[in-house]
Amino acid sequence: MFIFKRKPRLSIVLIVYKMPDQAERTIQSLSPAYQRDVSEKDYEVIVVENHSDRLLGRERATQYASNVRYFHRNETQRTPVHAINFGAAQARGSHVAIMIDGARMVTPGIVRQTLDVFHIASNAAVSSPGYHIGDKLQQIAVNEGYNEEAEAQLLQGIQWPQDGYRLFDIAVLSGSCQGGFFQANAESNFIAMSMKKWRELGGVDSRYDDFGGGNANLDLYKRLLDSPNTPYYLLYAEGSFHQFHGGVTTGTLKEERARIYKQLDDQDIALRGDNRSRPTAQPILFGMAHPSVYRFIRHSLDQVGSK
Amino acid sequence: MSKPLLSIIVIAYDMQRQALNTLISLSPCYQEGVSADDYEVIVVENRSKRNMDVSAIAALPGNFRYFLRDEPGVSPAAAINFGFTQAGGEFIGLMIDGARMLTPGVVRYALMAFRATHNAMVVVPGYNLGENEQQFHLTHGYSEEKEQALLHDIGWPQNGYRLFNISSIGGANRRGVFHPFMECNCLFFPADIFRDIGQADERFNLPGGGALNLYMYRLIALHSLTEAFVLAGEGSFHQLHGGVTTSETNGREHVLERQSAQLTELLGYPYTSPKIEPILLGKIRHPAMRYLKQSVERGGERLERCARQGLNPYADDAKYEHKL
Repeated sequence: MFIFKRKPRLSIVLIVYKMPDQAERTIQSLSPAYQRDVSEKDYEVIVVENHSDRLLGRERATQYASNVRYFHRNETQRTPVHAINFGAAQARGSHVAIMIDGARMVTPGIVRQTLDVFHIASNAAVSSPGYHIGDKLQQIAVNEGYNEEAEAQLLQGIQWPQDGYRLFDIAVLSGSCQGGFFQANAESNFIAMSMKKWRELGGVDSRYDDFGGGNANLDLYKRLLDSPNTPYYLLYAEGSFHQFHGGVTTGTLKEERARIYKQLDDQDIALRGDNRSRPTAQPILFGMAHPSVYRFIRHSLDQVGSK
Repeated sequence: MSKPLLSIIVIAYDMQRQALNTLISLSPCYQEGVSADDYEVIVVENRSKRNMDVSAIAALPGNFRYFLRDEPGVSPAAAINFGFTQAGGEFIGLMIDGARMLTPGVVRYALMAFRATHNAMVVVPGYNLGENEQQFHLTHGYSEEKEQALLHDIGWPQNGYRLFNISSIGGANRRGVFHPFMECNCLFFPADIFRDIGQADERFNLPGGGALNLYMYRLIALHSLTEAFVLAGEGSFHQLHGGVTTSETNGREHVLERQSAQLTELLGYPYTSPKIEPILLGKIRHPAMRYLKQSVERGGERLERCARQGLNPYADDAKYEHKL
């Protein structure tokens, strides 16, 4: 069992649309200067930006590191799924990580630990929990006046990007990750696997052609975790942190959001039928618990009824 | 079999029934997610009036090799070194006290850590069977018979994780997995690091090896190449067997004083638990969660205390500096 194959190399596919400032910080958080114990050679960041009137652009995308490759696309549909499949097709690594929402900054150990897990098990599924910056979910906070200025103050308060783990101090678990670390979540905004596995899965389902890709990300996560011979590792002590940017489900006002949710849900039912329950795989935990993660470990234990 | 990657050395002395339970817990039909070819178990027994039943060991599935030695001294140090000469594995598991049964994921996750890095040190937290620390077993009316009844109640060896249901946290890791461990009674490390630290120092000649296990743990943990892992969802569970410090005997205090003095002398300074930050690895099954909950509470208190006092919680971890 111990044949050490070639060193895994990670291609991170990051999708950007109408969020230049947030995406810039996300790319900074993926840079070798911020990520610990990795070099530019260990991974690449493939930024795929769908055209909009608020472009990030090549110059800003590539300013932090030479391992960033930028692609600008014209997209006729209101979905990131084609951009994701396009981005993965550009990958030069042995493994790929999908970040469907470019507004999610990450913690400093996520790249090293993803590579470590692929060294343990090349066929693994790797994900990390998702968070929202702020003291409540952004889809709620937006109704109470939360905005980009409020978020900028929070980031300033933890002196980001000095210690990226302090993001945990100013965040709450995403709705899809409320169940915590000891069970599979509903999705992840950092989903990694081998390129072989990616091809077997056929990538992300391009029929999710509605706002934000609808449930395409949940579908990908479930198909990956449910696929045979795929041990599931959770980087419980890392995370992806959603910055407010007026996205489809996290940044619109209540009534409008409910209408869109219904629409996305209808499409998901049409595509997947009844097979929409969250995966049952129990995660193998991997990671070093920064002090700021402790409260989320406590929360996670409560979620599974630990006494 | 071809040369295994992992050799697990188990030292036994005068603990016939308990050591056999330990070996059952190490067999590939009990350990999950591993095959017999992945590892060997080297059992080294120092002769006593109650030696192990060789035919029972031979009947176990897996790769067990049993050695009975005549030991002139009272320490397991020489037995460990003898076991090490027999070990074919690149990686070593050491159980200095053969009376410790394991949960079913120990071998799998230890091998996983070595796949992540050659220089892994894998720490398995320790527990005592029964509600109380076993050095006070007489006070609490605990006995081998009661322990056997507990094991019977959980249907052991089926579902080995139920050991957590009949146990209490061990003294070496009393404050849980987010505190520095004092020692580890089921420890995995690369063979070359064990060579580097001089193997088991036979100057530890007191009964049971005295503080030898603490000494080895500290040297391995602080080896410049070591990367520490802790299997928070697994455990080694001590069975009552009248050991030197784990049973309630007269003169225990005196024994501990001698051990401590020898440790300070051989180490060259007073012992402290190595303050290193481990990677937590593995699944956490439900029965283990109450311990993780205690761990995170106690760990949080420690970090707050360190912050108040301006101390680095992982002061022995050279790798931690750039993380601050």
